Amino acid sequence: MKRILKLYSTEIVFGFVSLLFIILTGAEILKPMNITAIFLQNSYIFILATGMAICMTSRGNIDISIGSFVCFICAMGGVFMAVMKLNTGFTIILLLILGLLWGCLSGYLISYLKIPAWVTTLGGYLSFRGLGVALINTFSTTGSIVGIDQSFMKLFSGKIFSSPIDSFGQGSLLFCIILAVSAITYKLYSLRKEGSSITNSVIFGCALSFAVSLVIGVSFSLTGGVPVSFVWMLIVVGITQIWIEKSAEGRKLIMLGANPENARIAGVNVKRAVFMTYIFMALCATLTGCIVLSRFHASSSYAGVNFEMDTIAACAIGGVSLYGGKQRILKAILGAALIGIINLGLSLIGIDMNWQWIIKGIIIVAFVSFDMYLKKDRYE
Amino acid sequence: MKNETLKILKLIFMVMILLGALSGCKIKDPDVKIIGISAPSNDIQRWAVETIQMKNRLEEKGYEVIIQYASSDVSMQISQIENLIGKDADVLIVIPVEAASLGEAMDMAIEHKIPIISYDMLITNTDAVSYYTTFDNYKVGTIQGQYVRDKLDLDHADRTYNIEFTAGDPGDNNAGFFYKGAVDVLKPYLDSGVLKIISGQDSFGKCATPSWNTEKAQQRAENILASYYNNQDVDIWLASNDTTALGVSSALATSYKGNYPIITGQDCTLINVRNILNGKQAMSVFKDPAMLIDATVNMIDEIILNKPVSVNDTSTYFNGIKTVPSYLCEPTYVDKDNCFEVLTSSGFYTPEQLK
Repeated sequence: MKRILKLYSTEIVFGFVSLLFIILTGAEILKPMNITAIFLQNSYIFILATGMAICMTSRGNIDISIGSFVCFICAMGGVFMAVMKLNTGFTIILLLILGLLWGCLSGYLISYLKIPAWVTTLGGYLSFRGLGVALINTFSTTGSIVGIDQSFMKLFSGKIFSSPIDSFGQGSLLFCIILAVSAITYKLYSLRKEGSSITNSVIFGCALSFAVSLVIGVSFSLTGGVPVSFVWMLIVVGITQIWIEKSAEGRKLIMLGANPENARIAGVNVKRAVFMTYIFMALCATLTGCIVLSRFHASSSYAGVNFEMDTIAACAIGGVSLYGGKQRILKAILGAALIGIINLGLSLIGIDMNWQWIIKGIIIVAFVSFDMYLKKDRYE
Repeated sequence: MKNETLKILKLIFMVMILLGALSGCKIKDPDVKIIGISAPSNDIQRWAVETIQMKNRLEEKGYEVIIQYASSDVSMQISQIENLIGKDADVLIVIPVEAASLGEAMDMAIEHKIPIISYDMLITNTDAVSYYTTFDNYKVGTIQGQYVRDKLDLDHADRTYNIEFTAGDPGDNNAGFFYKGAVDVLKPYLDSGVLKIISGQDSFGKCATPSWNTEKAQQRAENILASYYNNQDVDIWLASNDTTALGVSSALATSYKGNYPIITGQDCTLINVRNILNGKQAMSVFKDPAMLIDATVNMIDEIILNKPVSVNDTSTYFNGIKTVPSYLCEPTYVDKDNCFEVLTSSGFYTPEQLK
């Protein structure tokens, strides 16, 4: 029994907290619109948690600069499009270059110069917020730069397969079903290739994923379409998952997390691997910046506030240990979903903001303590 | 063992799905209309007080009211507005954290055809905002100008009066209206020479005070006093609001020896009201929140009952996308003679606060 608890601790707590919020909100959280809201409002946590999970894989490395970097990207996006009148494509390229530059710089400082990750990214946390706000104040007197390209906003926000909200949009449901079927097929195919047998728990997992996809698909269908930020999230999670499981690079990263000494002996270039994780993280933050910019319809000095904390919380809940180890991106995603449910649930109940922070803090610590207790023997 | 756990997990998820199905069938009581209020923060006293008063008024009328405070975070406010729409709100009252950045939440309101009333701060960069309730900001300036005109009886003046202006924040859409309202009243007298701006600083840009900052207003006033008013009196100092008026009165206290001028203000901030009682400030424009709340509640009634919505301005407030139909409340003023009575009878201050 304990073994199962250990293996599925994230899932169990996920179920428990969900149930709690279903009861507390009088099932309101299960309304199609609110299920959509979990993804629409928290897409940033999903994307950033994926990057952060990769970052943490390489032993104790975190990145606390991401929220501020999101603000900086928003500000630069506004400057490029509204002030310099560049077109969408060019803006995206420039933003990606900025992301790459920051990834390279932070990665280089952390992996090659051995500056502690939290110091380097603390620098980023402070300076990017300052830079972002300074830029916005330079080009605007109202605290936000308006005039973002319509095409840019279409690319990063809004809905695809859109349908009127009072009708049923079959496209969204079909999209989710096709995705679920292909993900399950892929999973079964790769299990077969590895020669593993298909156990009951695999079948249960697949059925559950399919059921969840169905619920999400129906929710999207009833609420006007699939949020574009949800598609971006799927792309990031999908690519990352395949990359870390299938590519040599990814496997090296897992090896490094599990045991750096062994990895070094096996010939893994540790510095390069860490360097790469920071580039990946910065690119995830850049994408998030674009999504936030589109969601706000303006460059705002308020963009990205507390994103790093929600992300780290998602990883902690997802069991991505700060001490490295074998990571599972999907668990971090589950953690992100949980943070999303907590955010939405507390907002629906309508508790005072200050209490929301307190409750969130308690849930996170309680959960991680529970998790640690279950895995006690492993840490001792 | 393993199967047992799986069974439990299955059970949990079955219950969840069942509840999901049930919630889909949950029907909202169509007779009770829901009003959502989204405010920046309840740490800001003004919003905390006014949202609660609004809630009480609306509940008396039989509406269900949900207030959400965004702890001054734009993302949070966007999500909260979406969640209010998700809770089937029929009308939303929104006070934006940041006027231009409510993007996707506004799109969602359009999609769901939910009217949005922008309360006192105009939401910009969207066509989702249906109505705007605020005080007539141009009138605020007009009242200040008229007060000066009537006090000094400028129509029958037998001497020239020296006047200086201190205007508001160039980033605040309303600051320009305040300034223009006052100047438009006083312009004939400036043209005829009854009023003279000795410093020559006679445009909004020259008189502006970034962020309505008291110290900045004080610095500018000190510089003007030092440069132009060593051997002559300044008779009027037209400050657009109370924080800048406070800067002016502080500057006068330290660097001015002549006859004390008439100082105007706006907002009836407690410290300025005390200054009015002590004779350090002549007047302050009073924008009674009760009036704004009345107008907003009234507007909601009209929207819900499908009546024509009473607005009294359809041309002034352009938000970058559309000109928002507005209901402008009439400001009044208080000075030494009436301020105690007006401010305590409306419940804006208790008598103890003004002693």
